[in-house]
Amino acid sequence: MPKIFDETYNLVRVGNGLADLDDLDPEDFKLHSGFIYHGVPSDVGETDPLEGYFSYTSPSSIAANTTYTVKTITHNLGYAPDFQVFIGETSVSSDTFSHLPYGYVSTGLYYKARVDSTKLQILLVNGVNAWSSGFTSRGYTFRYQIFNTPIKGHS
Amino acid sequence: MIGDSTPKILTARAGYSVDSANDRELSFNSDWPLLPIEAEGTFEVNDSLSAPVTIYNHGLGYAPLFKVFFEKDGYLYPTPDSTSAGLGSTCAVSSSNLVWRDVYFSETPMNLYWKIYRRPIEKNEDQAPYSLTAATTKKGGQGKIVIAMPGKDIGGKSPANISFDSSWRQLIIDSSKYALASTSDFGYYTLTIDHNLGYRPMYWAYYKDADNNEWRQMGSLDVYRAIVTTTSITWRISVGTWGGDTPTLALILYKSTISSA
Repeated sequence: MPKIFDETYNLVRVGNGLADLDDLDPEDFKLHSGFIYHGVPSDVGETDPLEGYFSYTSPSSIAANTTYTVKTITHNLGYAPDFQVFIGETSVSSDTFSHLPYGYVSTGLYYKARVDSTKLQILLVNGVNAWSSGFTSRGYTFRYQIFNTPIKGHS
Repeated sequence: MIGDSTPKILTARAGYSVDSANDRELSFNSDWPLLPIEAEGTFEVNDSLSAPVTIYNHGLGYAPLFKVFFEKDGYLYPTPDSTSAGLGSTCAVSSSNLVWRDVYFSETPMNLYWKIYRRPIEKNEDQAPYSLTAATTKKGGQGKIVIAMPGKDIGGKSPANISFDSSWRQLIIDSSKYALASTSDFGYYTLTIDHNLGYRPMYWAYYKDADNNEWRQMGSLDVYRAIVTTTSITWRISVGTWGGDTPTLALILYKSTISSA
């Protein structure tokens, strides 16, 4: 059943202060117990923190058809959780950011993220070209958040 | 902010006090919107399909925010992914449907997992400034508000069944904007939000498909990336790579930093 919002579950409702609760549309509620929201859990048995930030320098040479593990974050939630990862390109500027997956046009070189029931992995995935300059020894930052909600949904 | 004479409900994350928490340390402020999940589901892409295919009729009357992941080799990857591993995973939303819109396949069958949020992509909103001073940790025990999904126990072990926990960081929306992209930055289509948060915020980006008015998630490339400062965010798209007419873009900013923990 795709719809998970339960309009009848009115245990907690916080309105917008502009109208009576019963006159509000679901979009107007600041909090409604019939919805599920993305949160970053803590103290739920995680091995690594479920959000974080770190710096990374790409390898001094990048081999063709090779995948490098930038970082593995062990969440141990027992299911694949929703997540987001952002990449900062400090070698370009301190203001340049993107979300993963992120790639360089016409190079076959990508930074990606993936998750399973125990871990989030951030990867450098390279295609058919080897690199000894350009994308090598470059500075990056990564910011990640792992949420409570399962990607595969609630049963 | 506290002291502005406007009644509000505040909760702070574990380790912080609402008396001194800045906007990233609060888990809830009744002035600010969270991101409510409206629906979620699975869709199998296979060779028998011919795009477009309606995945879900949401019937909201507007194009909602959405997210899609695809599964490969036991892992789940976020979309949009323009590499061979992600080909076949492109989706879009209209005012009534979530639609599978891909014509390229690399892996089939492929399972997609999607979520739709109860918030329009086409929404301009900006929260009033709040205390942005550095974190002030308050040690000691702390009560909290926990809401479980209908029929679930808040004492259960899995955070998957928790709808809201005030001790956790929440995905809080700071602002959103959609507009026809500017062409004032030579060689780029841009959309800018002036947020003045004092830190670099996280964001999501979407674009409107001019052929059918559906919205899609914006991919990330070195020619499609954001300039995020402590006062503004600008999404920049290379005109040459984009190739089409001036696009309509949308950005949603969150009260979480992109450049620190």
